[in-house]
Amino acid sequence: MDESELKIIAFLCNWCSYAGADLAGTGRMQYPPSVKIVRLPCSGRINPLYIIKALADGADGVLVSGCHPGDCHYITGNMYARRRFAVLKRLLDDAGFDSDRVQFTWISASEGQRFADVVSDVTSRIKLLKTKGCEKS
Amino acid sequence: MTEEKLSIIEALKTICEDLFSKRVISRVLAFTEGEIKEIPVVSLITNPEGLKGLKWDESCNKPLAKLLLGLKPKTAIIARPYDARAVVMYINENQLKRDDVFIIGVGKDASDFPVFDAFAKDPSPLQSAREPSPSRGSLDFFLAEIDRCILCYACRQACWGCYCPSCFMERGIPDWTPAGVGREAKIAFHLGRTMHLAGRCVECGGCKTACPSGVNLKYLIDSLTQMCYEEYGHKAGMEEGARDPLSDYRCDDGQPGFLE
Ligand code: SF4
Ligand code: SF4
Ligand code: FES
Repeated sequence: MDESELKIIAFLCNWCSYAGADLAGTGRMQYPPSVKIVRLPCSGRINPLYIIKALADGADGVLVSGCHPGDCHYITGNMYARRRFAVLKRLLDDAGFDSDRVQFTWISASEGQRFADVVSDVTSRIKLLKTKGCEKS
Repeated sequence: MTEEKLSIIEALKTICEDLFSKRVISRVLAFTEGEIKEIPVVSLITNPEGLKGLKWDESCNKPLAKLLLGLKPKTAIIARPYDARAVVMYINENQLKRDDVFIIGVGKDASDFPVFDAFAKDPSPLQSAREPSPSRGSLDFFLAEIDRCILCYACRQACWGCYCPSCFMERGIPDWTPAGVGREAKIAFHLGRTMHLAGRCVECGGCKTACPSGVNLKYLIDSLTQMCYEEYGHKAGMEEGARDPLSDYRCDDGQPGFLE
């Protein structure tokens, strides 16, 4: 399968991770064309329903990233987000979905290379899951 | 009805009559005898005469706390531990004032109740609704349950915690649900509802008893209940003034499953 066929929705916080993605772009770093980015004001603004809806509507995977703990532009947004995401991941596992399809991390505005690495990593994980799934059916 | 239950009913009547005569309360939310012997009716009793039909046995297993919403003060509720916990959650979530409710707890031990104003002992109360589930993590089991769901929302209506005037399932903008009553919509509903109950379930079992199709998805909620206790030290409705775990944080919270 071609990586560009994968649909991975990335919910990124405006202040860190989106800027990190921007830096990866201006720095001409290479990463797979699988992510479609949705920019949000803060990781605390990411409703778990966004993630559930993305998956229900056919996304292969979801990547969520915000500022590192302690660096949130709104001070504590990512602290609340961290609990929400941990709970959501447990729920997806319990229901029997491969929670590997949903990935959470922190990327700062200066971490362009990290953004590129994370996207490559997540893409290869999800690609693996998809090919495994194809063999099964 | 057994002797034991009859004496509980007598105790409850005495408590309520006293409250009515002292004008502490103006109504009681309780179970009464209905036309069919086996099926109790939920009643709002407004005078001492109404206490005649009071009922208390295993069939009185519906959670009552949700009916308190919107009632005028001061209402007494005949409460099992889960009702008392739901009342505490309502107080914590600013849906109810403590002074507007009078809680008459009925249970094995008063220490099972986070709050109560009067207590009647029931030596053999209903068993806890929590049960271990061997099915955690099985997609086949989950989808089989989902396929039986007819999206009637009875589970939501029964739950004390689902009191939003407009549920996310009924919003047009944003539209959370794929159209129709297909698998996707049902999955979105159940996962969304479970997320909304993380750390808020008082284990009344109402969602399971209410379901006309016998769907059992409460194990998902039970698992989050356990997680919220283990990770965040939180038990729903056990402490007045506590915040639910998803409206709270600690700087040293773990991040299991996050990317390095
Ligand atoms: S989720 Fe079910 S068991 Fe938990 S409080 Fe709601 S109705 Fe009761
Ligand atoms: S009560 Fe049962 S059938 Fe109705 S929405 Fe809930 S799970 Fe589905
Ligand atoms: S502003 Fe980036 S996580 Fe809150």
